[in-house]
Amino acid sequence: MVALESFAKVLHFLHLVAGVTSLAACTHLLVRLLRRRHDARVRTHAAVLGVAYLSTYAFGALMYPTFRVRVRAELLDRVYPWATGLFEIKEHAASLVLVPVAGVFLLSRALDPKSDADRHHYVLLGGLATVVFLVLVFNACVGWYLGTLRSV
Amino acid sequence: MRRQDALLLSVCAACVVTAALYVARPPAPIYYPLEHVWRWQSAPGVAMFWYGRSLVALAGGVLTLLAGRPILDRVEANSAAVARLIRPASWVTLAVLVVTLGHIVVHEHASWMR
Repeated sequence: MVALESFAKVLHFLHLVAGVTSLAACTHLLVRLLRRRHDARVRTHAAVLGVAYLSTYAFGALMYPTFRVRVRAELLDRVYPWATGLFEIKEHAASLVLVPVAGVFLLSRALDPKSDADRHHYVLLGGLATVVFLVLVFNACVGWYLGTLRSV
Repeated sequence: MRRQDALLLSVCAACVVTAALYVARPPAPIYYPLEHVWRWQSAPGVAMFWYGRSLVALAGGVLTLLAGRPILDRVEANSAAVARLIRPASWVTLAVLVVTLGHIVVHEHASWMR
C-alpha cells in the first residue's frame, strides 16, 4: 500500500479545483497588470493565486506517491516514456515557480501604484506573473493529457 | 533602503537561489514509496527524487527571502543607485527563471523523450 492511496481520488479532485482557481486568479491578475489597472483587486487576485497555488502544490505532493507507483512506474515509464518526461517537466516547473508566486503575493501587497518610486517594480511583478501563468497553462494541459492515459 | 526596494531585491535573490539549487542538484533525501522510507543514497526500486530536490531548492529560496529582506532593510544605500538597480535586477531574475525552465525541458527531453 502506498501512502494516502485510499485518498488519491479525493486529492486528485482537490488538486484540479485548486489548479483551475490558480489559473483563473493568475489570468485576472495578469490582465489587470497589462491594462495598468493597479487597484485593490491586484492584491485580491495575488492573494487568491497564492492560496490556490499553495493548495494545488500541497494536494499534488500528497497524491504523488500513488501516481508514482500506480501510474508512472506501472505504465508511463514502460509504455510512454515521453509522457514521463512531460510529467517531470510539469513537477519541476511547479516547484520552481513556488517562490515567484510568493514574490507576486508579497510585491502586490507592498507596492503603491500611485508612487512614482515603485513604477519600475512592476516589471518584476508583471514578469513573475507571466512566468507563473505560462507554467500554469503548461501544467494544466499536461495534467489533463496525462489523465487521459491513466489516472490515480 | 526603502521597504519596497528591499523586498524586490530579496525576491530577486530568492528566485535566483531557488533556480541555482534546482540546477545544481545538491545531495537531497530520496523517498521510496513502496518501502515508506527516506534514504540519502540511491537504491534499487521505485524512488522519488522530486521531494528532496524541491525541498532543498525551496528551503534555499525561502531562507534567502526571510534573511535578505531584514538585512537589506537596514542597509544605508543611495536611493538613486538602488532605483537604477531595480530594472536590471528584475530582468536578470526573469531571465534566470526562463533559462532554468529551459534547462529542465532540455534535461527531461534528453532523459525521457528521445
